[in-house]
Amino acid sequence: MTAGISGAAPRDGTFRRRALPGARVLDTVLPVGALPLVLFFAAMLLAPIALLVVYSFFEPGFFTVIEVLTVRNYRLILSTALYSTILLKTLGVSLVVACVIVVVGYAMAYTIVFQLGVWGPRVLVLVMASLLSSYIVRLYALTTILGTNGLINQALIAAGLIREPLGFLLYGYFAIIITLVYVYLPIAVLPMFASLQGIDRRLVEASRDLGEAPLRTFVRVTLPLSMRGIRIAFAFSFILASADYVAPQMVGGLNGQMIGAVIADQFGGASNYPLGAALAVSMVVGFAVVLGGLLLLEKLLRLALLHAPRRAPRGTPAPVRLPGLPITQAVTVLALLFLFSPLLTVIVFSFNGARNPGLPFQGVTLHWYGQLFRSADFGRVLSTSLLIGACTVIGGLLVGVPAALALARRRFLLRRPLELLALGPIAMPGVVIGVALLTSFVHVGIRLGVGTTIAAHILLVTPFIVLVVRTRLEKMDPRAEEAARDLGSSPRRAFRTVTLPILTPALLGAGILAAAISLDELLVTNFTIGVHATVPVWIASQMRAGLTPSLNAVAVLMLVGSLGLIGLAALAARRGRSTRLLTTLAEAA
Amino acid sequence: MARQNTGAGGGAAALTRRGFQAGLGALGASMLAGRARAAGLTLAEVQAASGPVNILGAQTYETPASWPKDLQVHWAYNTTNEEILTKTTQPGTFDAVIIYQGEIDQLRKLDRLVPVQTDLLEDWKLVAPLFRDASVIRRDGQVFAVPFHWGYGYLEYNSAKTSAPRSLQDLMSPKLTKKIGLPNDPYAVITTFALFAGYQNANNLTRDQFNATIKLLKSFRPQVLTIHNYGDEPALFARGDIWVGFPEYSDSIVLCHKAGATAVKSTMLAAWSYVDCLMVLKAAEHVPAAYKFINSCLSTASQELTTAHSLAFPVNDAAISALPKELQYTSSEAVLKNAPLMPGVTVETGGPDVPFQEWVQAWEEFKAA
Repeated sequence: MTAGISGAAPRDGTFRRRALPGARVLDTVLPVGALPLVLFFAAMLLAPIALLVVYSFFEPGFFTVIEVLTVRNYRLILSTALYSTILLKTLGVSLVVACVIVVVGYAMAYTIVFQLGVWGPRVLVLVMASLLSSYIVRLYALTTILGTNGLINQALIAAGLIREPLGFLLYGYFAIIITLVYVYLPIAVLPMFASLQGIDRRLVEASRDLGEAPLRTFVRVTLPLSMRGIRIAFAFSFILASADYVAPQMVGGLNGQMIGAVIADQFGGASNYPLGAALAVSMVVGFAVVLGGLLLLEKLLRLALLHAPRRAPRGTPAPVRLPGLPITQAVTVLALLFLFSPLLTVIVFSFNGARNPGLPFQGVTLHWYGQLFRSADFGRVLSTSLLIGACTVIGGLLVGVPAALALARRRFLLRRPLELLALGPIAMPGVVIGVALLTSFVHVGIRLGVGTTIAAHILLVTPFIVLVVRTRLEKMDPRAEEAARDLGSSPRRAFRTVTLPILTPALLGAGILAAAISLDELLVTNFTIGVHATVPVWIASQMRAGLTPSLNAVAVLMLVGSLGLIGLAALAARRGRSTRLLTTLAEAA
Repeated sequence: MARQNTGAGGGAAALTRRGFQAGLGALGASMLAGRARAAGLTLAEVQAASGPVNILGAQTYETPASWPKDLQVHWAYNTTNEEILTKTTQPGTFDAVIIYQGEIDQLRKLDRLVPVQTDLLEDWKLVAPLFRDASVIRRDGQVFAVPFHWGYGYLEYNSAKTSAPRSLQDLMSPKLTKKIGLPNDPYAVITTFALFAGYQNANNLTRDQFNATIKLLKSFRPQVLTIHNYGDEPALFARGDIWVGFPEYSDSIVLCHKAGATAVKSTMLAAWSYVDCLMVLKAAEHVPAAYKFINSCLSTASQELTTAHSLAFPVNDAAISALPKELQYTSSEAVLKNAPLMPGVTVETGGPDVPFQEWVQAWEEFKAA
């Protein structure tokens, strides 16, 4: 048996250090398994971003740079109200979005883990299913719901609650926040679910047995033990919302201008690459400052709580039962309604007789599905998307799984830098990655096309694969593999016969997540696809002539296809009862 | 004008001069071969051309039925005007692009465009003289862009909610506060407001004229509800979000009606025209095929197909009948008289005209104000 094994499965960061199977104290600088990720990310992320950072210190030319070093671009950002205001506005809006997401997402994750029993995994799969459709089409569906004569206003007027449509629902900060919450809520639920799922229930029971009220148990046991998931969810939501400029522009009206759009404009019509690069760097610095500040605040709060004088309890504590009340369940139901309303709208309006993917609804027709199946363009872009998606899944697993194994099972000097590197693509706005990759590919003479897009997508999906697989590995009871080794299995055989079967649902979950991300990716793909086109690029191009219900039909087919894929994956994972299949898949996710 | 959506990653790659030269070096042999062939190309070679050709253009012009059968056309999409510049960064990726005439100067400044040999286009004669002889497709006396389709930007309004606006003052009416939509297109919006400000050469604005135009635009801000992507306006009208939208393009009113906004009408207030063109790239690798493709776009049959598909006006007058009745016109001259053809905005700095880069900057400031 290898040294350093403890009996308990790792539950959080504190336990993990002594629970790492096969772990020795700093056994190497960087494990071999991490090398594919390190080399790939160095070429596809670090080098292009470094090039952009260098550009941010050059003078602007026309769609080029003049190689004269200057800090002019940063001075411009700090001294021009336009840039500093938009940067602060973006960070502020994203902060609100992240807070809302964490509160709602936590309530959902809590309900799924602690209150729904066997229904929990099914609900989690539902939450994830809301992601499995076209991003643009889902956003469009939200405008159908929130618009002046949209579904909400019509319903309220019909119910006699209002006489005039509510104007604030669309084209303002309310709409921006609602939309960004809608887009990123499902992604944020996952890490919080994983954290809550990993909590040893006996700790909660012990707290209750010792006389703590449910609320105090929640505050003193459950919440601290799930802080890692909350941090990850907050960081994800904050960064992704900050970098998103498509959604705010679509629903925000005059308030919809975000820093991502300004960056994109610098690499477009304004043709000022150095300023665009400097804005991108400033944005990432903004992320670091906000997230670092919040982390510091959290630590200070903890310290303050630790050293706060504690009053002796007087009598029986008040029976506050907040976590047990249906409040979290109610939030979950409302959030599910919120997540599925646009999807339902997309499905209904894919049969709209009018040439409009939203209101007014003018009769039922299958015309748009027929048009789609007859379209040679759609067949072409769909096959390109599927090819890219399949290669991305394979490539992403090849790069991500060994890195996840290294992070979960080895202790090495560059562990923290590797963790940060693996999350790098999430922290970078899509437009920045796209521009950086395009610049680099052109620089070294690599022809843009399907190959470059696959490489770009592998970069984008790998962080999610690492997260999913690593989480699963850390939740695995190391004693199973140790038992195999004790019974005479070689390390390779123990891995093949014990670890791999346990890991299979995680691999399938990660693969599905990677495929979903790849199939719906637009911002980076648009820069790297060259003479080809994918479904999202095709949809974006079609927007110029006005969306039609055929795009709703595309979104419905994507949803059905993805759900079918999940079903197949579940079947491949386990041939047992359906609940168990969903559990394994949900846990993997 | 090829419309601009800024919703989807409208960016470009940086490329240093050294990098660009290195790229040229790497692709040297094939590029030089392509250019040499373009110079000595004959009509017979163009007619006999077959094989692949890579085109970058809007999806609305993608009509495979109109393409020569012996060409393998690979069509890639741009979602914004500026993406034409981004996506042609890598030499040799595309042979020809379709974009409005205003991008000629930008592509030339980047040294990506070559003059078109019109004698290699059999159907050049089918292009209406008004466009064939237009100065906006020429630079230094040479043709750089082959007219493909044209149109004009006009003002749309919901006649059930408001009467036809006849002036900017009408548009400033309190009744229209937060009821107007503008497209997210600095070129189109600033050109329109320059016309409102009384500058007929709306693409050639001096510093003072530009400042006055932007001041006027900013004073209009309270009226604006949305800065939307092209293609969104039918839904915006149909949902009742906006009552007025401008400038919108040829097919917009038809799409509004199809979307259920049947009361939408149009006026020619501050209207102006554009012409979408086919341009041959300097680094084209399939030059004969590119010429063959371009020529095929001008035939009456092809123009009818692309007109019916895009609802954009044809440059071959014989295809006007392919337009829906509500868009048909009797004379291009009459339309252009009310909606003058704009040349595009300069990208040169230091001259008398404010360059396009500053138009984009001013537009960003307007949106973020």
